Amino acid sequence: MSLDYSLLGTEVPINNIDKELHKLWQEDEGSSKASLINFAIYSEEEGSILKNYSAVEKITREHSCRAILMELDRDGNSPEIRSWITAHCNLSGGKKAVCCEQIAFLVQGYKPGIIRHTMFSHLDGDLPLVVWWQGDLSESFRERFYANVDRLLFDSSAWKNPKSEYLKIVQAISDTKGLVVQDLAWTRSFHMRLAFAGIVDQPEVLNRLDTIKKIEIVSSNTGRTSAILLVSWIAEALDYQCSKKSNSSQSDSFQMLTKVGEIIEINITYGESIYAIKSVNVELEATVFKLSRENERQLICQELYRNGELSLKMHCLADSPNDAELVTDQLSRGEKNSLFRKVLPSFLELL
Amino acid sequence: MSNPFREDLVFRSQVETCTVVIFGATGDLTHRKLIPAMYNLAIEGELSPGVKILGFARREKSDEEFRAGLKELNKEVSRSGHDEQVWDEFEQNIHYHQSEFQDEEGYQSLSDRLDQIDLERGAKGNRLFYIASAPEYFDDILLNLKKVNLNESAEGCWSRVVVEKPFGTDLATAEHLNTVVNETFEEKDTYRIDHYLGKETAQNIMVLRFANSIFEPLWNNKYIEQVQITCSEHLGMEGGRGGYYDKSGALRDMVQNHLLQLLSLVAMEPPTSLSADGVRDEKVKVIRSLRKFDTPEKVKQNVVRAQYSKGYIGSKDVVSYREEDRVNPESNTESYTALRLHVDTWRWSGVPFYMRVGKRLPKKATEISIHFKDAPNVLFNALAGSNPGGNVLVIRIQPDEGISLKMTSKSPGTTLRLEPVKMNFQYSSSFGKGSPEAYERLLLDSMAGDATLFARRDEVEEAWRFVDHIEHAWHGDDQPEMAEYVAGSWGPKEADDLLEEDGFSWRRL
Repeated sequence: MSLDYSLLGTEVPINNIDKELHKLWQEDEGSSKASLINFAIYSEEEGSILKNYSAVEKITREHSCRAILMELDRDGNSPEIRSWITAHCNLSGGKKAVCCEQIAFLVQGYKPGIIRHTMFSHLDGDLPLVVWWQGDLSESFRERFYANVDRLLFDSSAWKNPKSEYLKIVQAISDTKGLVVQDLAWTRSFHMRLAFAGIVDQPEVLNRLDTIKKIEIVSSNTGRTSAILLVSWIAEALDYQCSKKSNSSQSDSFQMLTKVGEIIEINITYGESIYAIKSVNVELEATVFKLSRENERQLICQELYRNGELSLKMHCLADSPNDAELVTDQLSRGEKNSLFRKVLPSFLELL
Repeated sequence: MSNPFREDLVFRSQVETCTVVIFGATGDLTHRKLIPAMYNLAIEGELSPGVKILGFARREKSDEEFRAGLKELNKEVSRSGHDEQVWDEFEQNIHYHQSEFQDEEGYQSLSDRLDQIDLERGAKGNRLFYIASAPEYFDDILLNLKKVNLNESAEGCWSRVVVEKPFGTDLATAEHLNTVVNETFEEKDTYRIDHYLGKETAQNIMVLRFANSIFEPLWNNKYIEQVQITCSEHLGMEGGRGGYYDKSGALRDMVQNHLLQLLSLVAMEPPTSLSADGVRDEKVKVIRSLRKFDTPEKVKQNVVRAQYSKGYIGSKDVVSYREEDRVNPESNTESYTALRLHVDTWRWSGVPFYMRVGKRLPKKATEISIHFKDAPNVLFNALAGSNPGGNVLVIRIQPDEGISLKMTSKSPGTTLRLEPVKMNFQYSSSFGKGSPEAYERLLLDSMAGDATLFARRDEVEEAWRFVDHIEHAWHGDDQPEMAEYVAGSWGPKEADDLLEEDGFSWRRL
């Protein structure tokens, strides 16, 4: 199938990229160029470069960057690189166009080091490099690609074998010491965690935390890692031991052991949904709270029942089901990932 | 017991469930700022769902009427828009309590109502009393809260008070107010709001200075020639504000609080920690180090006051200050003031700090400009007509928040011509997403018990001590002339002269 790459802007020889970018800005007097980070998206899926163009268009509305799109076609005959340049412009305060430049690479054919070399030789100097790695961590990643990355975004929900891929992430963290890793599967639970923490602020919940009996989570078929990360987070916050009980393609069951030796049952049920975590139901003594995604609205409904009666109902923001919006939110939250790192060991055990 | 799920979720002190009691709940501040801020915090999940809001005011209103009024304004001003369903649930946590501010019984019933709310919530609660009423009721409110023991908190809970400006009208009234506040609430539970400190760029001053290594070595009298702080407003006395403003004036309305706070952030020494008192200890030292204008002569030499005459803003004709609605036609209140200040510390010895603030100036802008000394008069600067001036670092507080640095560069061409160029950082284009409103941050901090962005008693009193010297000179026997400027101009000639005496001029905005 032949794809139309004209969307990506002007096709330029790879050796002329800097010169052509310079020309692009010289010709335009009405815009100002802004860049706070190098933001690269890497994928080996055919046509991803076009899909990611649209993602960058959204992300640059909030994050000024030099965007670098890379697609590797492993089946290409000989290593050949096609490149395009363009800019994404948005109006700032309704007046002035603020633009971010974009370089797109289509790498046809693989040879060791080609991804690392191509990406790293086209960065905006001094600015941090954030890479959104899409799909499994292939050999391009293992070539110590990550050694020069400041922040790595990935999506464990897209991995064929999350456990083995996660071990590569753990290795990368240990090799680099400073690498900040952020799993979009974790990001997808951010607002659910905020809503959870919010309802626990209620004195009748907070004072009964040690009476939790059961937790039910409904997740999408692709949201398994999000749901297990959520379970790990709950266990970590309560400082309870958590272990795997059983698993199937439709469900996972865990047990949490409280300080006084009581067992809390945790069940995750998987089904069709566009939301990674559709609902969370927590049963405590005389109290139940429920967090559920509203259909077609980016809201979470928080409900608290006391002795079976609804005593509180509120809505708060939910995570977007759109990956580009999720990345936009993640980039806004800065580089802090200490909580994720804390949750990681128990998550790996439960996976 | 603290909420273990809040830990590490956000990099901020933990916000706790509480009831926020707003005194002066029918006023503009509540409708335009406080409730929209709470709504935005709620929708973003920053607010615990159990936070209740109880409006306290004199007018007869039902909960429903109160909520309806708030809803109308929220639709207009909410930063993140207005969602009917979310509002419907949010407003269930808003209630109204009618009482005169002087009526002790009203406070007793308030206390009962708060107990009832706590009971419904299932535990003894935390209370945040937000005094947004007219200042003449501050005493009554505080004394009545004390009479019914609402200033005291139950075991493991807290009671805090947030006080809106003005914190007095001079040192004596500020001391009185602070005494009343501190007889009711401990200083650690007292939060004096200066909304300028909640602005993103004001918070960024410390980050700029202490998180970058290139500025601090230059941040002293060896490299800095002068500092200017400008707060200009194109508005006059629209919307009935003349009534308040004419009793206050530019010095008391802006300089005593906002501008001296900005000055202290610019001039402070690095704090030993980022704790509230660590930061405020250093800020108050700056105010204490201001050279006092303790004689009328010193005031005359260093301070200019002025009123606007008729002119035009944009293409619209506007009346003079004395002709404004609710302004005394013989008013002696300044609509503009300019000051030359000196911070008598080792770091700032010999560096003048100029401030100007006024109404009916050409545009709305607040900014701080740091003017660095020229490079030595050799090499490029020795060439005739080639010196385009020293480097200027500008911190724009509002609007168009950002930072710019003016530098000298060679203009392209075969001849050696030097031109000023500007490196510009804009919050809007660099970070894309809008900043939260100052009140959102300040409300969150007060619920979380973080007083860093609030003024402490000694800061307020030191600022009044400084400003009182000027006020006394202005209202004493040997009063300086009230200068005049045309509405729509950048202020009176006398203010330009103040800088010209030192060989400087006001930065063009």
